[in-house]
Amino acid sequence: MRTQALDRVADARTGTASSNAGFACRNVNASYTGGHGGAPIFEGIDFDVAPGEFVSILGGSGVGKTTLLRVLGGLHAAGKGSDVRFAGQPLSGAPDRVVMVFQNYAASLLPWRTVESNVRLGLEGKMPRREQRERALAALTMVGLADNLHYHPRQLSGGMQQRVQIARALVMDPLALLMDEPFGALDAITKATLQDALLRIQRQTGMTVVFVTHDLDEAIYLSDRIIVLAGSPAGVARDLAVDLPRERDQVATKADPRYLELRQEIYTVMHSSDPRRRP
Amino acid sequence: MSTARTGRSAWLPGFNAAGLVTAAGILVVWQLLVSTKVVDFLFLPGPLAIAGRMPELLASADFHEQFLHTLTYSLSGWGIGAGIGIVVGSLFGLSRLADQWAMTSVTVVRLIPAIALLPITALIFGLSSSMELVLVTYVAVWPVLVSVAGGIRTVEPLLRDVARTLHLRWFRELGQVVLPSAIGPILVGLRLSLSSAFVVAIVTEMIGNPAGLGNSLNNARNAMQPELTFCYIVVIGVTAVAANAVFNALSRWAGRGSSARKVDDRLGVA
Repeated sequence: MRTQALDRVADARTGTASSNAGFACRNVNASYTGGHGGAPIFEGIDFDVAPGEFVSILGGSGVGKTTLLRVLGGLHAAGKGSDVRFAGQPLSGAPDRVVMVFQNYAASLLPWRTVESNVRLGLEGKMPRREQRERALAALTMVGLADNLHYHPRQLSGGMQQRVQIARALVMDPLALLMDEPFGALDAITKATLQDALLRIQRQTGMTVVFVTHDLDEAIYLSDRIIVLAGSPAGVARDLAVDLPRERDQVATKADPRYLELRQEIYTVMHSSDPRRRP
Repeated sequence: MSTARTGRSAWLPGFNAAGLVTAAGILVVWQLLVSTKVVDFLFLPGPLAIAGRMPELLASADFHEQFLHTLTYSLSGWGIGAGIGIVVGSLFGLSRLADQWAMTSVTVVRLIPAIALLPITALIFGLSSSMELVLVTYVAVWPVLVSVAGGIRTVEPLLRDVARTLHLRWFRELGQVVLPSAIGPILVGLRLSLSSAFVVAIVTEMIGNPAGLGNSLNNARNAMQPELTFCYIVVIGVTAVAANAVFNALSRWAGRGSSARKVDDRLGVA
């Protein structure tokens, strides 16, 4: 029953994971006030995210990682002259099948709804109730919460609440997932478990993931590519491929000499006085 | 009764024996003062005399009719007013523009005591039940409108982002995310609105529409029957308390689950 539901989701995806589900950013800038005026938080940002790629945006606090992610998700207007596209189309509002997962899971789940009904939220009115329930169950199965359908969020641990939020995004059958420090508030063990769960789901579904974090190790462990933001106003300080085997393991990967090299290189970029100049 | 018992801990308030003792004590003192003629007014009966008059009133068909009238008009006016308040309040809460252009007018208009509008309403609608309904509705709108608008503005902005990233249509965002998150302040507004509606119903019946409990109260006074007058006061008081209790029970029932505690806090009945 469970594997069946899982297969259905996987089937649905291999069919639909369109080959152009990537982002293209050219000369992107943004300020806190939205599109017009105000000092820019970042400017001149150029990068691409290929379909099916797992990209982390890394940087210290205040460099605008979250704002950049919100721009990709259509939740924050980019400044004048910016060109942001998803699947080749310029953004106007939140793009279809791009779903954001927020850091503050407790405040982004509806406390009066059960786990299952929280996950169904985005499907309501868009399909018959029976199909909503099937898809919610499939999504909750993917995150390992199929046995917790009828709990309310406050009855779950932080890690489980964040799984619910991820399921609520997965149920929308996204081509791209935008994740804003989703594991930032969790303890180390829960964090590692959820990182592995996320990697498994990403490999299974082939969806594009843009992942914001300030945790260097998390970024290297999860990503195919890392974009380091630094400066004020911030810009892309480094855009580098993580050339580690795609099968990751919490112990083996982190002991890989290449992992340590990457770690040192990014650390240096993040802590240099002029991070945007290459050494 | 049996359902009340099972649901008691969840949404019925606890029984307060100490509060009851004080109330009974006040009645006893009142009765003693009147009986011993320490306090001696021609038209001030004691509680026993008032209670003695009560059964006859409660049995009369006219009383039932008047009671039903007041109940119907105050509840209908409240319902219609609350509906208008929720719709317009949502508009003010969601639209910066509406808020900016119209909220000043709302603030001024809602602060005019409803009773001051009674003469003009009487001119327009006559001394009729329509006039009563209009005034009750009018007064019921404002607390709901203001609390809905304010409640919506304090909804966690993150929840609005959630609605956007999940591509919720505006009515679903309003009905499934925004209004339920603002349920605490909205219930407070609804409760204030209910008590205002009842007060204004009684007052318009006393000095406008010749019907209902307010009118009966006046008639009892004109007939110089202080016991009967007090009986109506008691009935009106008990009805107001009962309406409030039913409303609180319903809100607690509606807010059961996670937000129940918050609702209780906001209502001040925890």
